[in-house]
Amino acid sequence: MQYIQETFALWSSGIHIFTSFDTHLLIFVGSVIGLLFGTLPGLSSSMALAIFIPFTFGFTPHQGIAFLITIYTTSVFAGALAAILVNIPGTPSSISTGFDGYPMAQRGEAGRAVGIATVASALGGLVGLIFLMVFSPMIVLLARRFGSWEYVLLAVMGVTMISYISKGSIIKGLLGGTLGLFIATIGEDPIISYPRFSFGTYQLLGGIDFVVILIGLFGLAEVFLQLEKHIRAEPVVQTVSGFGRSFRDVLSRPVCLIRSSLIGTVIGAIPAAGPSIASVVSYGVAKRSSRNPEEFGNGSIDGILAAESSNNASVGGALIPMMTLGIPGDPMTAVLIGALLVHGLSPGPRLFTDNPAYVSAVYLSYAIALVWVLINGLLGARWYAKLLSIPRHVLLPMIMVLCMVGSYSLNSNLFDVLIMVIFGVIGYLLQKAAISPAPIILGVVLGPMFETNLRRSMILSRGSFMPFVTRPMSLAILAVIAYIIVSSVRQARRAGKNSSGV
Amino acid sequence: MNEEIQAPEDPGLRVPVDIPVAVAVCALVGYILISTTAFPDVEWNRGGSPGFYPRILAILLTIFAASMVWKSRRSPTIAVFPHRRRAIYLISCIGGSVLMPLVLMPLLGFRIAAFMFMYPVMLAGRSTRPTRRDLLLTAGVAVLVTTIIYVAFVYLARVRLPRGAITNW
Repeated sequence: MQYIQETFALWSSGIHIFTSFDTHLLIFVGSVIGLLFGTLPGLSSSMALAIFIPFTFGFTPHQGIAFLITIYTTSVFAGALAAILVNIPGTPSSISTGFDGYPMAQRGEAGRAVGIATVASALGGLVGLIFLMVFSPMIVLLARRFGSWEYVLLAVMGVTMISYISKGSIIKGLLGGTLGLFIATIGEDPIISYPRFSFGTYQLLGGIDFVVILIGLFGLAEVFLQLEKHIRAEPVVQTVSGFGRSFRDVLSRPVCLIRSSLIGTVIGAIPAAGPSIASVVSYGVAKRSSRNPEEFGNGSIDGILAAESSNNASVGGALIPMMTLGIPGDPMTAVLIGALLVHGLSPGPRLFTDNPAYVSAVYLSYAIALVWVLINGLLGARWYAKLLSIPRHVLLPMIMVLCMVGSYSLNSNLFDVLIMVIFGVIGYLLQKAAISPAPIILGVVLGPMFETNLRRSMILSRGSFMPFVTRPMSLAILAVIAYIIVSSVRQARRAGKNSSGV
Repeated sequence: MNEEIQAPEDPGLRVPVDIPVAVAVCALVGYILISTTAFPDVEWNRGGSPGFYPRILAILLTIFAASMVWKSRRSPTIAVFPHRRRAIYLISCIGGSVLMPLVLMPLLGFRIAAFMFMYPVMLAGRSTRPTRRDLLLTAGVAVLVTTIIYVAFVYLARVRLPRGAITNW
């Protein structure tokens, strides 16, 4: 009973934050930015979050959180608009949406497809939110028993999850993750403050700001990749109209909606999985369990519903490990961890006890963002569709300047801009070598937690590794790590066999 | 009427990248190992050596780089880099990005530097040859974008963007 009371108190502790008009204005602006970055192919949710973190410095922390959560939620949804209207997914998570959305648009049912995607996204997101609100406090209760040893192993678990996050080779994912762990060591060491790897410059003594790395790897590097492509013509956008039946279309398929939302939430909660995997898996499950599988790929309502409800539900799922353990569920939550740190908040069990209002702010801003998804999708889609006709040669230089201003605003220091450009070039070259930036960011996020707790645990055990295997909690996490390694090796072998069999 | 710039089908430069990446990683490992030799050797009850954790990372980097090279014998990664016009454009954009924090922003200030950076990048990125109207329109867009970013960051986010040493603007 006391637990339920505490949970309700946690949920409601941040309500007063949302009585301010400024907060709602920022949420609205966040939803427009999210739609812009989600709709336009080549721009991503992670890029939007990375660029706009510095923009939140002038706001209070709860306003900053609300602004960024809204960008995250709406950008995941907005990828569907481009996928449906021009068959170019705005974000990787909307690839499956285009399989059926574009054929519907070709039949002249673009409005209906956008409407279904919107309603499915909002309802899927709602399921994710419910799971986030119910399960987070439970995981926090468990995490309060963790000591330094368990946190070291959680960081190791996060690093092994790289084998899932890495799109191509597992080895390259792990290499990228280790590079990220190394980047996090630049500056003074966390225990005795000894300067390391600062190349003799005083600017690097305090380390490299996490957000600068983020903007470079996710913002500028992505722009460089887009700049090298020769785009002869911008896509022709169709007229969007006729949303009337959207609610009926979605609500008449409750099984598909709930199943896909649950799949999305669970996959989102697995560290490093994310909305792209969620949408592909639930699309596959929906097709397999459909009475009319032949309709999939030819404009099936179930197809759009499954893909969109799951990728938006995964947002709530991804926020669970981020909020409770400080482990990112996907690259976007890695960026959000950086944002919380910038505002002086450390995600993890202590956030729930020390700053419950901020936890509540995350829940409530996510809920309000879902309302904006509905409003934008049903009322504004025909306007946002016009964004697709913004020429690339205008948009990309604009983003480059935004990256520069974003990195400058962190410390009002042009050295940060230079570091951001260097990481942009490194990110571009690494992506050319098929090393994704996501594991690098995961490494940078987990690095300080890993090293600090590793050294703290070694100090406590006087240099002995034994507590890692003698403490029951540690042993349980070790078992999970072993499972992850074995299953990813199996997965890689199976993929190798399949590719050699083709 | 706009004239399409003839860009012949650009197959790009195909470069095997696994070995160069492994060499770069080995150089980094060498740097870590050499640097950590100068770090103090502190006992665990006093906080432990600051080189302990970086050395672990150096070992991991070596293992992963070696595995990557081993795997590349069967399936090497070939990176496709642009060449001709797109390569020049990309390199110019990267060069401009480096010049912005080093020269343009400190000397000219954000407002002029941002316009001077965006205007040529926007023009050069066009797939058609710009007409006089395009030149004016692009300049207008660059001024508008600079103003929006300036107003958003200075007045909404309360960030003081750099003023130029020469222009004080």
